[in-house]
Amino acid sequence: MRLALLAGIGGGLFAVDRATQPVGFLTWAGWLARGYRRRFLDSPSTVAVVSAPPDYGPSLAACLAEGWNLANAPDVRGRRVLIKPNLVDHIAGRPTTTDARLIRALVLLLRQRGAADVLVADAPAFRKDPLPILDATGFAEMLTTLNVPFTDLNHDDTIRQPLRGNFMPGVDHLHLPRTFVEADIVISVPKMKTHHWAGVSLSVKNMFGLLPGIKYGWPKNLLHQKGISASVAALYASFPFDFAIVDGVVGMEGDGPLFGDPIPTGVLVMGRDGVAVDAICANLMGFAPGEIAHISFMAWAGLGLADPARIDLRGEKLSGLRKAYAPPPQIPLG
Amino acid sequence: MSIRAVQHARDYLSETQNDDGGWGYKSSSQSVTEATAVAVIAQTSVASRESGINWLLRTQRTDGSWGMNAQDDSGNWLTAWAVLALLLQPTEKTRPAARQGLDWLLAMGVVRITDPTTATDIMGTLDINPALAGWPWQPDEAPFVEPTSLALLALVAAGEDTQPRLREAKAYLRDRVCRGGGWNVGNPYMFRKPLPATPYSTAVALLALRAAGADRVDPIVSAGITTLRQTLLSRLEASTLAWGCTALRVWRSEDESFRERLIQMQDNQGGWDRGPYATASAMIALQDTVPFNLGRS
Repeated sequence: MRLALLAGIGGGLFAVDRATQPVGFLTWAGWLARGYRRRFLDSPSTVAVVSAPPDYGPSLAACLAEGWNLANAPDVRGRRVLIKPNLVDHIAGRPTTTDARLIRALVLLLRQRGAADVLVADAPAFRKDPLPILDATGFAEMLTTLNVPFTDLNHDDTIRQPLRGNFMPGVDHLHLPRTFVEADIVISVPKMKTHHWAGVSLSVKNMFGLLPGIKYGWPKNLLHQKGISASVAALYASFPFDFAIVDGVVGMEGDGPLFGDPIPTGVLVMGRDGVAVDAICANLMGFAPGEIAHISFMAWAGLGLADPARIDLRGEKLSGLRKAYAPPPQIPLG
Repeated sequence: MSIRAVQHARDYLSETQNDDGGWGYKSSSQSVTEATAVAVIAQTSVASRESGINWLLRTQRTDGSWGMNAQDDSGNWLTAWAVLALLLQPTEKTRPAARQGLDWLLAMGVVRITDPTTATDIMGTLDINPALAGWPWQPDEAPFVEPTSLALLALVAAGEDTQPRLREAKAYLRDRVCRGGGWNVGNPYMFRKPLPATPYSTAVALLALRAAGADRVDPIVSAGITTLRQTLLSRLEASTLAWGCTALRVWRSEDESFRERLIQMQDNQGGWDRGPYATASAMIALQDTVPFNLGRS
């Protein structure tokens, strides 16, 4: 009887371990436990939603400041702040990148709030030379006018950094740009848009642009091969940014991240919890967070909150701002 | 004018060489394989070149490959750059190292989709033939244009013209041509929408096809040259403009205005874009000799 019981327990554990491969039962259980703690024991996440002028006009700065205050943004006084926009590529007529006017307003706000140093950095996914993107999007002129340095993270010095949480089995570290590693505060500033692999590309997916091309190539093939959810979770668990500001003034719907169409949405969404910010954005875009695999996975694993009931929403009501974004086509691979 | 610019650049490279013998993308940044290999190819001063070669020899991994820098823990596409640099400086020390690197490149794994269903899906989505493989950025990943082009250049420089993988790489480059000509990273289409060609990818692909014996009247080559000229009109980093000039020269389609623009971009210290990599790239573009032994007709 005892032997049968032991065999039953052993067999059950073996089955659970098999079912939780490739990460194994212990890792899976760790994610599960953290998810429960995050959802039921930790304090709610604050997300601010503010209306913004549809033409990125002069009142954008005030809207940004309002959201910054509502969302309990980090104290930047005396700190070196890295702004990470989405500069994936430029396609004429498509809102592929974060708007330079938002970054301009953010640079000025950070300086006003006492940041010691502000820089803008990204590792464009499809181009070895970032200058054509910077020129075409107005970033070059804006950065020159404000005397803000741009760091091409594809060619930066690199530092080996361990990965936490075993989200990417077989990969226990990444080589990341020194400029990112040594920044005091990192702000992810993506475009609100759809994405054919990820469903949506927002603040957590924006961090794909950290990986240097000289190691991981153009685009970041390793992350796509390991899967969007696993890669986004690994990056966020290991290198969480300090604040997110999503450029939803004019978003992208349909065939994102490159060929989608502009959709005026007139909103900025901000907060410290990237998962919560992205869940609210998905809601504003007309998607349920559960529809977006990487957001629901990250919330389940305790990397942030996606349940609106656990998010302290400040600023505008979502119902007045919500748009029905056309979903992206799905890639029928595998 | 260009002779003076090259001499000035040579001095700049000597001054910006790191103590370990390598060069970084920017002055005083960490030594990296790409910048060091390009500086060695660019005919820096004898002493600098010797130090650069020694850096490459020291950073070769035991499996014969090179990573992006000395701290990298795995070999990747940059092996082709190191092999090229060593092949162009043949000595008793460099030959066996280059051979090892070549063997590693030839054995480098790449994703090749042969399952008919998946292949059909990919062809329908990306308009590429996924059964054709060139070289990837990292082992066992999908192939892309730049690593394929560099590996092809290295194989031809080593006289390995008959390798089956080289023939397939040529076919891969032809398959990945963008609409209207030229190349980007290797995705000419996304859901049947054309992605634009970019100047750097177009330049290295044209260099590779020249090495592999393609003809000037080949429509893929002539369209690539036309696209390269158009894309070089944008404001670009000096390194991109330099490789564009080099590719045009190799195909005997030089444009003096691009060379002049490149010379104008040189700074007072003799460098380009405040970095050894761009400076070495510009030197290669402005020197009289055609790189990679591609001067033959």
